[in-house]
Amino acid sequence: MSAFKTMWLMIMFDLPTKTKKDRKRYNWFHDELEKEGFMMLQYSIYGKIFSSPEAASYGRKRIKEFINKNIKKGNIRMLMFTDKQFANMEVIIGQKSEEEKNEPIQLLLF
Amino acid sequence: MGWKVVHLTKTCKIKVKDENLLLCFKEESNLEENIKVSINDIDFILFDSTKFSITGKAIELLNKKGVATLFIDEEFHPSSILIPYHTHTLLTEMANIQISITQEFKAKAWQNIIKSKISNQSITLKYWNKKEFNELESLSKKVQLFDSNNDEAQSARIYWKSLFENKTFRREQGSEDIINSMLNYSYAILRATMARSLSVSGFLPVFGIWHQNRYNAFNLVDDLIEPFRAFCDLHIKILLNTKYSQSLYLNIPIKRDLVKLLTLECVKINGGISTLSKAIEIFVKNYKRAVLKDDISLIVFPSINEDLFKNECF
Repeated sequence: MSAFKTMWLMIMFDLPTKTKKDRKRYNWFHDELEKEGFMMLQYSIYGKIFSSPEAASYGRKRIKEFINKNIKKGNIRMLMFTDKQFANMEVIIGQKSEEEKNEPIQLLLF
Repeated sequence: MGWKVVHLTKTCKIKVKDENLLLCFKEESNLEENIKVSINDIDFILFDSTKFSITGKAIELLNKKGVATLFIDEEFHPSSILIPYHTHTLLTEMANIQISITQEFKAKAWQNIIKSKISNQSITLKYWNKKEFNELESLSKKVQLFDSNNDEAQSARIYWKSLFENKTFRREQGSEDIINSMLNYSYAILRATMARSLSVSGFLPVFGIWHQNRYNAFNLVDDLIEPFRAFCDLHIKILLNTKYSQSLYLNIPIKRDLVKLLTLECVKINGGISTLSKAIEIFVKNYKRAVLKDDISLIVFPSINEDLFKNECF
């Protein structure tokens, strides 16, 4: 593996889902994250891997922009960390998804 | 552009979901395994099997995002590539610029490309402690405009004999022996990556600087990949000496190791070290600047980062 400085971006959120409008917004946010290439680690926790810290910062900027434009209520947090820190994550119950195991590799073989 | 290389050999269905590529594999136990890959992240995708089906939407998105895509024919040789057709905004302008490139620029560009090619070949020979590297080094210094003395052919004669220590070895495109088929395979990958980069930058690959073959749609690609060929040669020689000394045919593990070259940081370019696929992008970008400003000195040429190959354990 080359010396790629892979970085993870993690988004954790709570959005209101009481009214129909809120649910619509929630679904929109979910779809938008999927389109950006984020994968669901758990409900309301999404992660994506970037090839470099610069790419991750750019990704962060993009996400921030589309959140600020459309969402006013709720609670959204974003966290950036290295691939090594991510790999050290302990899964107490459940297991890592297939995609999660595949993601950090630069060369995907099927 | 992305940074991942995908190599598909299993039977699968390829769909699009939420603008991500969804790869569906059917397991033996009739369970489906779905893997999602973000198209933005993919740099190169190689369909190394004819047993797959792909939706039109997936092809469209791969093209739109400028992913280099290579398909394989029934004999498992690379056969066709996808290149974006009309994605660049200044396509007509670029075409006009390409047509009006001066003979002087072409002559100097081709001279420098061949210089760079021979000097990379010389580095390859030096890496294998072949004494002929001196000969190539001096050849590379005296390449003429338009390579009028045909130093390219002279160096090739010395190079192939010396590199594969085999008097009977002949570099041929149609050959079935292991060395030639490995070379052809990795050159095809290189060619696809270059074609994608050129196309995304707005170049029409039909207008070459030296290659003018009327039957070839990729004249410019064939011009610009010359300096990069030696990377494949060196990599293949390492694979042949270490892992696959007994192999007779191109099999999947060999192919995977050949594809891996794209992700190795084996290129010294522009004062830094870069992966092969990134280096091709940098090279094309600088070539474009040189063409636009009509200044040959803006082209940056790649050279081999030998240290990587020394440290790499295969």
